[in-house]
Amino acid sequence: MSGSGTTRTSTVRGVARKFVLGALPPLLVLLAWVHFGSRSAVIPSIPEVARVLAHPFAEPDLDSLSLGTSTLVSLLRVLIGFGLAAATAVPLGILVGRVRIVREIFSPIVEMARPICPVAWLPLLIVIFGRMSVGTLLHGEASWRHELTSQLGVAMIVVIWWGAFFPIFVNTVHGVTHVKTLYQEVAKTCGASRGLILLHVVLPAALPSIVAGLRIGMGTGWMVIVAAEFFPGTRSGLAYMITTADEVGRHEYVFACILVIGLLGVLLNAVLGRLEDRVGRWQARER
Amino acid sequence: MTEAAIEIRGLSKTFVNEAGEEVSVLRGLDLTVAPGEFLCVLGPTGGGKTTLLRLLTGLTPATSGHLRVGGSAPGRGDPVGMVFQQNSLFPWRRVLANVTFPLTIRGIPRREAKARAREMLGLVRLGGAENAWPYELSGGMQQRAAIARALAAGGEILLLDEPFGALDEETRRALQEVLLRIHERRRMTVVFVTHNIEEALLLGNRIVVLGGGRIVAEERVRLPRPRDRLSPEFTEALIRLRRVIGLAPR
Repeated sequence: MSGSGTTRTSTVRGVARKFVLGALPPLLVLLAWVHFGSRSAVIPSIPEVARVLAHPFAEPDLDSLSLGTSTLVSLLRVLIGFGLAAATAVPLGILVGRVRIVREIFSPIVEMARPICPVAWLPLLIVIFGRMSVGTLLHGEASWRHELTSQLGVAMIVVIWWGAFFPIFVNTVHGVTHVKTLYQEVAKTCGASRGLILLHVVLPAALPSIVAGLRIGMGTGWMVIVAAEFFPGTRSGLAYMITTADEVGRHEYVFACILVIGLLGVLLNAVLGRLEDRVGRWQARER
Repeated sequence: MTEAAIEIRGLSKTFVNEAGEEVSVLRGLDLTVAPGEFLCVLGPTGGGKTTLLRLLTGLTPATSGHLRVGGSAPGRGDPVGMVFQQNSLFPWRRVLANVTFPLTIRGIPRREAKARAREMLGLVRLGGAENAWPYELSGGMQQRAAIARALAAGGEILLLDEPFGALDEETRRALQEVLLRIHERRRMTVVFVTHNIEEALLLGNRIVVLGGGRIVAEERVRLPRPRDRLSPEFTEALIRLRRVIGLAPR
Protein backbone atom coordinates (compact mmCIF):
# COMPACT_ATOMS: atom_id res chain seq x y z
CA MET A 1 0.00 0.00 0.00
CA SER A 2 1.36 3.40 -0.93
CA GLY A 3 -0.80 5.58 1.25
CA SER A 4 -0.24 9.25 0.51
CA GLY A 5 0.12 11.76 3.31
CA THR A 6 -3.45 12.92 3.23
CA THR A 7 -4.97 9.46 3.38
CA ARG A 8 -2.71 8.52 6.26
CA THR A 9 -3.74 11.60 8.24
CA SER A 10 -7.38 10.90 7.56
CA THR A 11 -6.90 7.28 8.69
CA VAL A 12 -5.28 8.47 11.91
CA ARG A 13 -8.11 10.90 12.35
CA GLY A 14 -10.61 8.15 11.62
CA VAL A 15 -9.11 5.86 14.26
CA ALA A 16 -8.93 8.68 16.80
CA ARG A 17 -12.51 9.60 16.07
CA LYS A 18 -13.65 6.00 16.47
CA PHE A 19 -11.92 5.71 19.84
CA VAL A 20 -13.07 9.03 21.21
CA LEU A 21 -16.68 8.53 20.15
CA GLY A 22 -16.69 4.90 21.21
CA ALA A 23 -15.29 5.84 24.62
CA LEU A 24 -18.10 8.27 25.37
CA PRO A 25 -20.81 5.83 26.54
CA PRO A 26 -18.49 3.84 28.86
CA LEU A 27 -17.28 7.15 30.28
CA LEU A 28 -20.85 8.19 30.99
CA VAL A 29 -21.53 4.85 32.64
CA LEU A 30 -18.41 5.29 34.76
CA LEU A 31 -19.47 8.81 35.80
CA ALA A 32 -22.94 7.58 36.71
CA TRP A 33 -21.31 4.76 38.69
CA VAL A 34 -19.11 7.20 40.64
CA HIS A 35 -22.12 9.40 41.27
CA PHE A 36 -24.53 6.70 42.45
CA GLY A 37 -21.94 4.35 43.93
CA SER A 38 -21.09 6.80 46.69
CA ARG A 39 -24.69 7.25 47.84
CA SER A 40 -26.20 3.80 47.38
CA ALA A 41 -26.11 0.71 49.56
CA VAL A 42 -26.75 -1.56 46.57
CA ILE A 43 -24.21 -0.24 44.10
CA PRO A 44 -20.63 -0.86 45.21
CA SER A 45 -17.92 1.75 44.77
CA ILE A 46 -15.30 1.47 42.03
CA PRO A 47 -12.39 0.76 44.43
CA GLU A 48 -14.35 -2.08 46.02
CA VAL A 49 -14.91 -3.73 42.65
CA ALA A 50 -11.36 -2.99 41.54
CA ARG A 51 -10.04 -4.77 44.65
CA VAL A 52 -11.96 -7.93 43.74
CA LEU A 53 -10.70 -7.80 40.17
CA ALA A 54 -7.11 -7.14 41.27
CA HIS A 55 -6.96 -10.33 43.34
CA PRO A 56 -8.85 -12.87 41.25
CA PHE A 57 -7.57 -15.93 43.07
CA ALA A 58 -8.07 -14.62 46.62
CA GLU A 59 -10.51 -16.82 48.55
CA PRO A 60 -13.76 -14.85 48.84
CA ASP A 61 -15.63 -14.97 52.16
CA LEU A 62 -18.51 -16.50 50.29
CA ASP A 63 -19.71 -20.02 49.68
CA SER A 64 -18.01 -19.89 46.31
CA LEU A 65 -14.73 -20.56 44.55
CA SER A 66 -12.53 -17.54 43.84
CA LEU A 67 -13.37 -15.20 40.97
CA GLY A 68 -10.49 -16.57 38.90
CA THR A 69 -11.45 -20.20 39.43
CA SER A 70 -15.12 -19.43 38.80
CA THR A 71 -14.15 -17.77 35.54
CA LEU A 72 -12.04 -20.77 34.59
CA VAL A 73 -14.92 -23.14 35.37
CA SER A 74 -17.41 -21.15 33.28
CA LEU A 75 -14.94 -20.76 30.44
CA LEU A 76 -14.04 -24.47 30.37
CA ARG A 77 -17.71 -25.47 30.39
CA VAL A 78 -18.31 -23.21 27.39
CA LEU A 79 -15.20 -24.28 25.52
CA ILE A 80 -15.93 -28.00 25.95
CA GLY A 81 -19.61 -27.60 25.02
CA PHE A 82 -18.69 -25.38 22.09
CA GLY A 83 -16.00 -27.80 20.91
CA LEU A 84 -18.49 -30.67 20.96
CA ALA A 85 -21.03 -28.50 19.12
CA ALA A 86 -18.52 -27.59 16.42
CA ALA A 87 -17.38 -31.21 16.09
CA THR A 88 -20.95 -32.41 15.55
CA ALA A 89 -22.69 -29.48 13.85
CA VAL A 90 -20.16 -28.97 11.06
CA PRO A 91 -20.05 -32.59 9.79
CA LEU A 92 -23.80 -32.99 10.21
CA GLY A 93 -24.41 -29.66 8.47
CA ILE A 94 -22.24 -30.73 5.53
CA LEU A 95 -24.08 -34.04 5.32
CA VAL A 96 -27.51 -32.40 5.50
CA GLY A 97 -26.48 -29.74 3.00
CA ARG A 98 -25.05 -32.19 0.48
CA VAL A 99 -27.22 -35.29 0.71
CA ARG A 100 -30.87 -34.81 -0.09
CA ILE A 101 -32.20 -37.84 1.76
CA VAL A 102 -30.35 -36.84 4.94
CA ARG A 103 -31.79 -33.33 4.62
CA GLU A 104 -35.30 -34.73 4.23
CA ILE A 105 -34.87 -36.91 7.30
CA PHE A 106 -33.36 -34.28 9.60
CA SER A 107 -34.99 -30.99 8.56
CA PRO A 108 -38.27 -31.46 10.48
CA ILE A 109 -36.63 -32.50 13.75
CA VAL A 110 -34.07 -29.69 13.54
CA GLU A 111 -36.82 -27.13 12.97
CA MET A 112 -38.71 -28.50 15.97
CA ALA A 113 -35.71 -28.61 18.27
CA ARG A 114 -34.18 -25.28 17.31
CA PRO A 115 -36.57 -22.89 19.09
CA ILE A 116 -36.30 -24.73 22.43
CA CYS A 117 -34.26 -22.67 24.86
CA PRO A 118 -31.32 -24.88 25.85
CA VAL A 119 -31.74 -24.08 29.55
CA ALA A 120 -35.17 -25.71 29.45
CA TRP A 121 -33.40 -29.07 29.21
CA LEU A 122 -31.28 -28.54 32.29
CA PRO A 123 -33.54 -30.00 35.02
CA LEU A 124 -34.09 -33.11 32.95
CA LEU A 125 -30.39 -33.39 32.13
CA ILE A 126 -29.45 -33.06 35.79
CA VAL A 127 -31.78 -35.96 36.55
CA ILE A 128 -30.27 -38.01 33.75
CA PHE A 129 -26.59 -37.25 34.34
CA GLY A 130 -26.69 -36.51 38.06
CA ARG A 131 -23.24 -35.60 39.33
CA MET A 132 -21.49 -37.03 36.31
CA SER A 133 -18.69 -34.65 35.30
CA VAL A 134 -15.51 -34.52 33.27
CA GLY A 135 -13.79 -35.34 36.58
CA THR A 136 -15.77 -38.50 37.27
CA LEU A 137 -15.40 -39.56 33.64
CA LEU A 138 -11.64 -39.20 33.78
CA HIS A 139 -11.36 -40.76 37.27
CA GLY A 140 -8.96 -38.02 38.18
CA GLU A 141 -7.09 -38.08 41.46
CA ALA A 142 -7.87 -35.68 44.25
CA SER A 143 -5.69 -32.90 42.92
CA TRP A 144 -6.75 -29.31 42.25
CA ARG A 145 -7.20 -30.42 38.70
CA HIS A 146 -9.68 -32.95 39.85
CA GLU A 147 -11.50 -30.33 41.85
CA LEU A 148 -11.75 -28.26 38.71
CA THR A 149 -12.83 -31.09 36.44
CA SER A 150 -15.44 -32.24 38.93
CA GLN A 151 -17.12 -28.86 38.41
CA LEU A 152 -17.47 -29.51 34.67
CA GLY A 153 -20.82 -31.28 34.92
CA VAL A 154 -21.98 -33.22 31.91
CA ALA A 155 -25.51 -31.78 32.16
CA MET A 156 -24.14 -28.26 31.90
CA ILE A 157 -21.93 -29.13 28.94
CA VAL A 158 -24.83 -30.75 27.12
CA VAL A 159 -26.83 -27.53 27.56
CA ILE A 160 -23.99 -25.49 26.04
CA TRP A 161 -23.70 -28.00 23.23
CA TRP A 162 -27.39 -27.61 22.52
CA GLY A 163 -27.18 -23.83 22.49
CA ALA A 164 -24.10 -23.61 20.27
CA PHE A 165 -25.10 -26.44 17.94
CA PHE A 166 -27.88 -24.77 16.00
CA PRO A 167 -26.18 -21.54 14.88
CA ILE A 168 -23.20 -23.58 13.67
CA PHE A 169 -25.40 -26.19 12.03
CA VAL A 170 -27.68 -23.69 10.29
CA ASN A 171 -24.75 -21.65 8.99
CA THR A 172 -22.93 -24.74 7.76
CA VAL A 173 -26.01 -25.96 5.88
CA HIS A 174 -26.48 -22.51 4.39
CA GLY A 175 -22.84 -22.23 3.33
CA VAL A 176 -22.73 -25.69 1.81
CA THR A 177 -25.99 -25.31 -0.12
CA HIS A 178 -25.16 -21.86 -1.51
CA VAL A 179 -22.00 -22.72 -3.43
CA LYS A 180 -22.31 -21.45 -7.01
CA THR A 181 -23.09 -24.30 -9.41
CA LEU A 182 -20.56 -22.80 -11.82
CA TYR A 183 -17.64 -23.56 -9.48
CA GLN A 184 -18.75 -27.15 -9.03
CA GLU A 185 -19.10 -27.53 -12.79
CA VAL A 186 -15.62 -26.12 -13.38
CA ALA A 187 -14.26 -28.73 -10.96
CA LYS A 188 -16.26 -31.44 -12.70
CA THR A 189 -14.87 -30.51 -16.13
CA CYS A 190 -11.40 -30.70 -14.58
CA GLY A 191 -12.19 -34.30 -13.70
CA ALA A 192 -12.85 -33.89 -9.96
CA SER A 193 -14.84 -36.60 -8.20
CA ARG A 194 -17.66 -35.86 -5.76
CA GLY A 195 -15.29 -36.16 -2.83
CA LEU A 196 -12.70 -33.85 -4.37
CA ILE A 197 -15.40 -31.31 -5.22
CA LEU A 198 -16.51 -31.38 -1.58
CA LEU A 199 -12.94 -30.94 -0.36
CA HIS A 200 -11.68 -28.38 -2.86
CA VAL A 201 -14.80 -26.44 -3.83
CA VAL A 202 -17.70 -26.82 -1.41
CA LEU A 203 -15.74 -26.59 1.85
CA PRO A 204 -13.56 -23.58 0.95
CA ALA A 205 -16.57 -21.78 -0.50
CA ALA A 206 -18.64 -22.50 2.63
CA LEU A 207 -15.86 -21.79 5.14
CA PRO A 208 -16.69 -18.10 5.78
CA SER A 209 -20.29 -19.07 6.52
CA ILE A 210 -19.19 -21.93 8.79
CA VAL A 211 -16.83 -19.68 10.77
CA ALA A 212 -19.57 -17.06 11.11
CA GLY A 213 -21.69 -19.85 12.59
CA LEU A 214 -18.89 -20.71 15.02
CA ARG A 215 -18.72 -17.10 16.17
CA ILE A 216 -22.47 -16.89 16.71
CA GLY A 217 -22.48 -20.31 18.38
CA MET A 218 -19.75 -19.21 20.77
CA GLY A 219 -21.81 -16.13 21.68
CA THR A 220 -24.86 -18.28 22.31
CA GLY A 221 -22.85 -20.70 24.42
CA TRP A 222 -21.53 -17.87 26.56
CA MET A 223 -25.07 -16.56 27.12
CA VAL A 224 -26.46 -19.98 27.87
CA ILE A 225 -23.79 -20.82 30.46
CA VAL A 226 -24.68 -17.77 32.55
CA ALA A 227 -28.38 -18.65 32.44
CA ALA A 228 -27.65 -22.30 33.24
CA GLU A 229 -25.44 -21.50 36.21
CA PHE A 230 -28.29 -19.62 37.88
CA PHE A 231 -30.10 -22.94 38.25
CA PRO A 232 -30.24 -24.57 41.66
CA GLY A 233 -27.90 -27.51 41.92
CA THR A 234 -25.00 -25.57 40.43
CA ARG A 235 -22.03 -25.25 42.78
CA SER A 236 -19.65 -23.08 40.78
CA GLY A 237 -19.19 -20.67 37.90
CA LEU A 238 -19.53 -16.93 37.43
CA ALA A 239 -23.33 -16.85 37.59
CA TYR A 240 -23.29 -19.07 40.69
CA MET A 241 -20.90 -16.60 42.29
CA ILE A 242 -23.32 -13.78 41.43
CA THR A 243 -26.17 -15.63 43.16
CA THR A 244 -24.22 -16.40 46.33
CA ALA A 245 -22.73 -12.90 46.54
CA ASP A 246 -26.13 -11.33 46.00
CA GLU A 247 -27.68 -13.42 48.82
CA VAL A 248 -25.28 -11.87 51.35
CA GLY A 249 -25.31 -8.40 49.80
CA ARG A 250 -21.72 -8.49 48.50
CA HIS A 251 -22.45 -6.51 45.37
CA GLU A 252 -18.80 -5.78 44.58
CA TYR A 253 -18.55 -9.48 43.63
CA VAL A 254 -21.71 -9.23 41.54
CA PHE A 255 -20.28 -6.30 39.63
CA ALA A 256 -16.89 -7.91 39.17
CA CYS A 257 -18.52 -11.07 37.78
CA ILE A 258 -20.65 -9.08 35.35
CA LEU A 259 -17.58 -7.21 34.13
CA VAL A 260 -15.68 -10.47 33.59
CA ILE A 261 -18.64 -11.98 31.72
CA GLY A 262 -18.77 -8.95 29.43
CA LEU A 263 -15.03 -8.80 28.82
CA LEU A 264 -14.72 -12.51 28.08
CA GLY A 265 -17.69 -12.31 25.74
CA VAL A 266 -15.99 -9.52 23.81
CA LEU A 267 -12.70 -11.43 23.76
CA LEU A 268 -14.16 -14.72 22.51
CA ASN A 269 -16.10 -12.85 19.84
CA ALA A 270 -12.99 -10.95 18.76
CA VAL A 271 -10.90 -14.11 18.40
CA LEU A 272 -13.47 -15.78 16.17
CA GLY A 273 -14.13 -12.48 14.40
CA ARG A 274 -10.49 -12.33 13.39
CA LEU A 275 -10.67 -15.88 12.10
CA GLU A 276 -13.79 -14.94 10.19
CA ASP A 277 -12.00 -12.02 8.52
CA ARG A 278 -9.08 -14.25 7.64
CA VAL A 279 -11.07 -17.01 5.96
CA GLY A 280 -13.36 -14.47 4.29
CA ARG A 281 -10.58 -12.37 2.79
CA TRP A 282 -11.36 -13.54 -0.72
CA GLN A 283 -14.93 -12.34 -0.36
CA ALA A 284 -13.72 -8.75 -0.04
CA ARG A 285 -15.20 -7.66 -3.36
CA GLU A 286 -17.43 -10.63 -4.04
CA ARG A 287 -20.53 -9.04 -2.57
CA MET B 1 -6.91 -41.35 -41.48
CA THR B 2 -6.36 -40.15 -37.94
CA GLU B 3 -9.06 -40.59 -35.35
CA ALA B 4 -11.41 -37.64 -34.85
CA ALA B 5 -10.92 -35.52 -31.71
CA ILE B 6 -14.67 -35.14 -31.37
CA GLU B 7 -17.26 -37.32 -33.03
CA ILE B 8 -20.98 -36.59 -32.86
CA ARG B 9 -23.67 -38.70 -34.56
CA GLY B 10 -27.41 -38.07 -34.34
CA LEU B 11 -27.09 -36.13 -31.09
CA SER B 12 -30.36 -35.00 -29.53
CA LYS B 13 -31.13 -33.19 -26.31
CA THR B 14 -34.59 -32.57 -24.95
CA PHE B 15 -35.30 -30.56 -21.82
CA VAL B 16 -38.51 -30.46 -19.84
CA ASN B 17 -39.28 -26.82 -19.05
CA GLU B 18 -41.05 -25.45 -15.99
CA ALA B 19 -44.45 -25.79 -17.66
CA GLY B 20 -43.73 -29.49 -18.11
CA GLU B 21 -43.38 -29.24 -21.88
CA GLU B 22 -40.60 -30.94 -23.78
CA VAL B 23 -38.21 -28.59 -25.53
CA SER B 24 -35.81 -29.92 -28.15
CA VAL B 25 -32.54 -28.03 -28.14
CA LEU B 26 -30.55 -30.35 -30.36
CA ARG B 27 -32.17 -32.59 -32.97
CA GLY B 28 -29.98 -35.20 -34.56
CA LEU B 29 -26.77 -33.23 -34.79
CA ASP B 30 -23.85 -34.66 -36.78
CA LEU B 31 -20.38 -33.19 -36.43
CA THR B 32 -16.79 -34.36 -36.58
CA VAL B 33 -13.86 -32.30 -35.37
CA ALA B 34 -10.38 -33.28 -36.50
CA PRO B 35 -7.40 -33.14 -34.13
CA GLY B 36 -5.81 -29.70 -34.14
CA GLU B 37 -8.80 -28.09 -35.82
CA PHE B 38 -10.06 -24.67 -34.69
CA LEU B 39 -13.81 -24.95 -35.05
CA CYS B 40 -16.11 -22.01 -34.46
CA VAL B 41 -19.77 -22.68 -33.67
CA LEU B 42 -22.07 -19.82 -34.63
CA GLY B 43 -25.73 -19.47 -33.92
CA PRO B 44 -28.41 -17.36 -32.35
CA THR B 45 -28.83 -17.19 -28.57
CA GLY B 46 -30.80 -20.20 -27.42
CA GLY B 47 -29.72 -22.12 -30.50
CA GLY B 48 -28.15 -24.96 -28.54
CA LYS B 49 -24.52 -23.80 -28.62
CA THR B 50 -24.00 -23.88 -24.88
CA THR B 51 -25.92 -27.15 -24.61
CA LEU B 52 -23.58 -28.68 -27.17
CA LEU B 53 -20.54 -27.79 -25.03
CA ARG B 54 -22.22 -29.06 -21.86
CA LEU B 55 -22.87 -32.39 -23.57
CA LEU B 56 -19.24 -32.54 -24.74
CA THR B 57 -17.94 -32.04 -21.19
CA GLY B 58 -20.41 -34.50 -19.72
CA LEU B 59 -22.01 -31.84 -17.48
CA THR B 60 -25.36 -32.67 -19.09
CA PRO B 61 -26.28 -36.12 -20.39
CA ALA B 62 -27.48 -36.46 -23.97
CA THR B 63 -31.02 -37.64 -24.65
CA SER B 64 -29.85 -39.79 -27.55
CA GLY B 65 -27.08 -40.10 -30.08
CA HIS B 66 -23.45 -41.09 -30.28
CA LEU B 67 -20.80 -38.89 -28.70
CA ARG B 68 -17.04 -39.40 -28.44
CA VAL B 69 -14.62 -36.86 -27.03
CA GLY B 70 -10.95 -37.76 -27.35
CA GLY B 71 -12.04 -41.33 -28.03
CA SER B 72 -14.20 -41.82 -24.93
CA ALA B 73 -17.67 -40.96 -23.65
CA PRO B 74 -17.96 -37.36 -22.36
CA GLY B 75 -16.67 -36.92 -18.82
CA ARG B 76 -15.15 -40.42 -18.84
CA GLY B 77 -11.82 -39.98 -20.57
CA ASP B 78 -9.12 -37.38 -20.02
CA PRO B 79 -10.64 -34.10 -18.83
CA VAL B 80 -11.17 -31.44 -21.47
CA GLY B 81 -10.48 -27.78 -20.83
CA MET B 82 -13.56 -25.58 -20.63
CA VAL B 83 -13.74 -21.79 -20.53
CA PHE B 84 -17.05 -20.24 -19.50
CA GLN B 85 -18.45 -16.88 -20.54
CA GLN B 86 -18.63 -15.43 -17.03
CA ASN B 87 -15.75 -15.29 -14.57
CA SER B 88 -15.38 -18.84 -13.31
CA LEU B 89 -12.19 -18.53 -11.28
CA PHE B 90 -12.44 -19.89 -7.74
CA PRO B 91 -12.55 -16.68 -5.69
CA TRP B 92 -10.93 -18.34 -2.66
CA ARG B 93 -7.82 -19.32 -4.63
CA ARG B 94 -5.17 -16.99 -5.94
CA VAL B 95 -4.46 -16.99 -9.68
CA LEU B 96 -1.66 -19.58 -9.57
CA ALA B 97 -3.69 -21.86 -7.29
CA ASN B 98 -6.59 -21.62 -9.74
CA VAL B 99 -4.36 -22.88 -12.54
CA THR B 100 -2.79 -25.64 -10.44
CA PHE B 101 -6.28 -26.85 -9.40
CA PRO B 102 -6.87 -29.32 -12.28
CA LEU B 103 -3.32 -30.62 -11.82
CA THR B 104 -3.39 -31.13 -8.05
CA ILE B 105 -6.74 -32.95 -8.13
CA ARG B 106 -5.16 -35.33 -10.61
CA GLY B 107 -2.49 -36.02 -8.00
CA ILE B 108 0.37 -34.23 -9.73
CA PRO B 109 2.99 -33.20 -7.12
CA ARG B 110 2.78 -29.61 -5.97
CA ARG B 111 6.14 -28.53 -7.36
CA GLU B 112 5.47 -29.92 -10.81
CA ALA B 113 1.92 -28.55 -10.82
CA LYS B 114 3.22 -25.09 -10.03
CA ALA B 115 5.83 -25.23 -12.76
CA ARG B 116 3.24 -26.28 -15.31
CA ALA B 117 0.77 -23.67 -14.12
CA ARG B 118 3.42 -20.98 -14.47
CA GLU B 119 4.07 -22.15 -18.01
CA MET B 120 0.33 -21.84 -18.81
CA LEU B 121 0.17 -18.39 -17.25
CA GLY B 122 3.12 -17.41 -19.42
CA LEU B 123 1.25 -18.62 -22.51
CA VAL B 124 -1.68 -16.31 -21.74
CA ARG B 125 0.76 -13.51 -20.78
CA LEU B 126 -0.33 -13.36 -17.16
CA GLY B 127 3.02 -14.21 -15.58
CA GLY B 128 3.07 -11.27 -13.17
CA ALA B 129 -0.33 -11.91 -11.64
CA GLU B 130 0.11 -15.34 -10.12
CA ASN B 131 -0.30 -14.12 -6.54
CA ALA B 132 -3.30 -11.89 -7.22
CA TRP B 133 -6.79 -12.72 -6.01
CA PRO B 134 -9.34 -13.14 -8.83
CA TYR B 135 -11.29 -10.08 -7.69
CA GLU B 136 -8.18 -7.95 -8.19
CA LEU B 137 -8.08 -8.80 -11.91
CA SER B 138 -9.83 -7.06 -14.80
CA GLY B 139 -12.36 -9.06 -16.80
CA GLY B 140 -9.81 -9.70 -19.54
CA MET B 141 -7.20 -10.93 -17.09
CA GLN B 142 -9.76 -13.21 -15.43
CA GLN B 143 -10.46 -14.84 -18.79
CA ARG B 144 -6.74 -15.21 -19.47
CA ALA B 145 -6.39 -17.05 -16.15
CA ALA B 146 -9.44 -19.17 -17.00
CA ILE B 147 -7.86 -20.14 -20.33
CA ALA B 148 -4.63 -21.03 -18.53
CA ARG B 149 -6.59 -23.25 -16.12
CA ALA B 150 -8.47 -24.91 -19.00
CA LEU B 151 -5.17 -25.59 -20.78
CA ALA B 152 -3.83 -27.15 -17.58
CA ALA B 153 -6.97 -29.30 -17.29
CA GLY B 154 -6.95 -30.73 -20.79
CA GLY B 155 -4.07 -30.13 -23.11
CA GLU B 156 -5.62 -31.83 -26.13
CA ILE B 157 -9.11 -30.38 -26.36
CA LEU B 158 -10.24 -26.88 -25.42
CA LEU B 159 -13.89 -25.83 -25.33
CA LEU B 160 -14.80 -22.16 -25.05
CA ASP B 161 -18.32 -20.83 -24.51
CA GLU B 162 -18.45 -17.21 -25.71
CA PRO B 163 -15.36 -16.54 -23.61
CA PHE B 164 -14.89 -12.96 -24.77
CA GLY B 165 -18.58 -12.01 -24.93
CA ALA B 166 -18.46 -9.80 -21.85
CA LEU B 167 -15.23 -7.97 -22.76
CA ASP B 168 -14.68 -4.62 -24.45
CA GLU B 169 -13.49 -4.56 -28.05
CA GLU B 170 -9.84 -3.89 -27.33
CA THR B 171 -9.49 -6.55 -24.65
CA ARG B 172 -11.38 -8.98 -26.85
CA ARG B 173 -8.89 -8.48 -29.69
CA ALA B 174 -5.91 -8.96 -27.38
CA LEU B 175 -7.39 -12.23 -26.11
CA GLN B 176 -8.24 -13.43 -29.60
CA GLU B 177 -4.58 -12.97 -30.48
CA VAL B 178 -3.46 -14.81 -27.35
CA LEU B 179 -5.73 -17.73 -28.17
CA LEU B 180 -4.58 -17.90 -31.80
CA ARG B 181 -0.95 -17.83 -30.75
CA ILE B 182 -1.47 -20.67 -28.29
CA HIS B 183 -3.30 -22.71 -30.93
CA GLU B 184 -0.51 -22.12 -33.42
CA ARG B 185 2.04 -23.35 -30.89
CA ARG B 186 0.23 -26.25 -29.28
CA ARG B 187 -2.13 -27.34 -32.04
CA MET B 188 -4.83 -28.48 -29.63
CA THR B 189 -8.37 -29.04 -30.86
CA VAL B 190 -10.54 -25.99 -30.21
CA VAL B 191 -14.31 -25.68 -30.23
CA PHE B 192 -15.13 -22.00 -29.90
CA VAL B 193 -18.75 -20.96 -29.44
CA THR B 194 -19.70 -17.40 -30.36
CA HIS B 195 -22.56 -15.38 -31.81
CA ASN B 196 -20.11 -12.92 -33.36
CA ILE B 197 -19.64 -13.68 -37.07
CA GLU B 198 -16.51 -11.58 -37.40
CA GLU B 199 -14.92 -13.32 -34.44
CA ALA B 200 -15.68 -16.74 -35.92
CA LEU B 201 -14.16 -15.73 -39.24
CA LEU B 202 -11.08 -14.30 -37.57
CA LEU B 203 -10.36 -17.41 -35.49
CA GLY B 204 -11.73 -20.55 -37.11
CA ASN B 205 -10.41 -23.01 -39.67
CA ARG B 206 -14.01 -24.03 -40.06
CA ILE B 207 -17.32 -22.50 -39.05
CA VAL B 208 -20.53 -24.38 -38.43
CA VAL B 209 -23.83 -22.58 -37.94
CA LEU B 210 -26.36 -24.05 -35.54
CA GLY B 211 -30.05 -23.42 -36.03
CA GLY B 212 -33.08 -25.31 -34.85
CA GLY B 213 -30.90 -27.88 -33.14
CA ARG B 214 -28.98 -28.86 -36.29
CA ILE B 215 -26.09 -27.63 -38.36
CA VAL B 216 -27.67 -25.45 -41.03
CA ALA B 217 -24.51 -24.18 -42.67
CA GLU B 218 -20.85 -25.05 -42.76
CA GLU B 219 -17.97 -23.02 -44.12
CA ARG B 220 -14.29 -23.83 -44.41
CA VAL B 221 -12.25 -20.67 -43.91
CA ARG B 222 -9.32 -20.47 -46.29
CA LEU B 223 -8.15 -16.98 -45.48
CA PRO B 224 -4.39 -16.92 -44.81
CA ARG B 225 -3.15 -16.13 -41.31
CA PRO B 226 -2.58 -13.73 -39.69
CA ARG B 227 -6.00 -12.55 -40.78
CA ASP B 228 -6.58 -8.85 -41.28
CA ARG B 229 -10.14 -7.88 -40.60
CA LEU B 230 -9.71 -4.75 -42.71
CA SER B 231 -8.52 -6.57 -45.84
CA PRO B 232 -10.88 -6.85 -48.83
CA GLU B 233 -10.69 -10.67 -48.69
CA PHE B 234 -11.84 -10.69 -45.09
CA THR B 235 -14.72 -8.32 -45.83
CA GLU B 236 -15.71 -10.42 -48.80
CA ALA B 237 -15.69 -13.61 -46.75
CA LEU B 238 -17.69 -11.88 -44.03
CA ILE B 239 -20.35 -10.78 -46.50
CA ARG B 240 -20.58 -14.26 -47.97
CA LEU B 241 -20.86 -15.83 -44.55
CA ARG B 242 -23.59 -13.37 -43.57
CA ARG B 243 -25.47 -14.34 -46.72
CA VAL B 244 -25.07 -18.04 -45.98
CA ILE B 245 -26.43 -17.56 -42.49
CA GLY B 246 -29.21 -15.32 -43.72
CA LEU B 247 -30.25 -17.83 -46.36
CA ALA B 248 -29.91 -20.80 -44.06
CA PRO B 249 -33.23 -22.47 -43.36
CA ARG B 250 -34.28 -22.26 -39.74
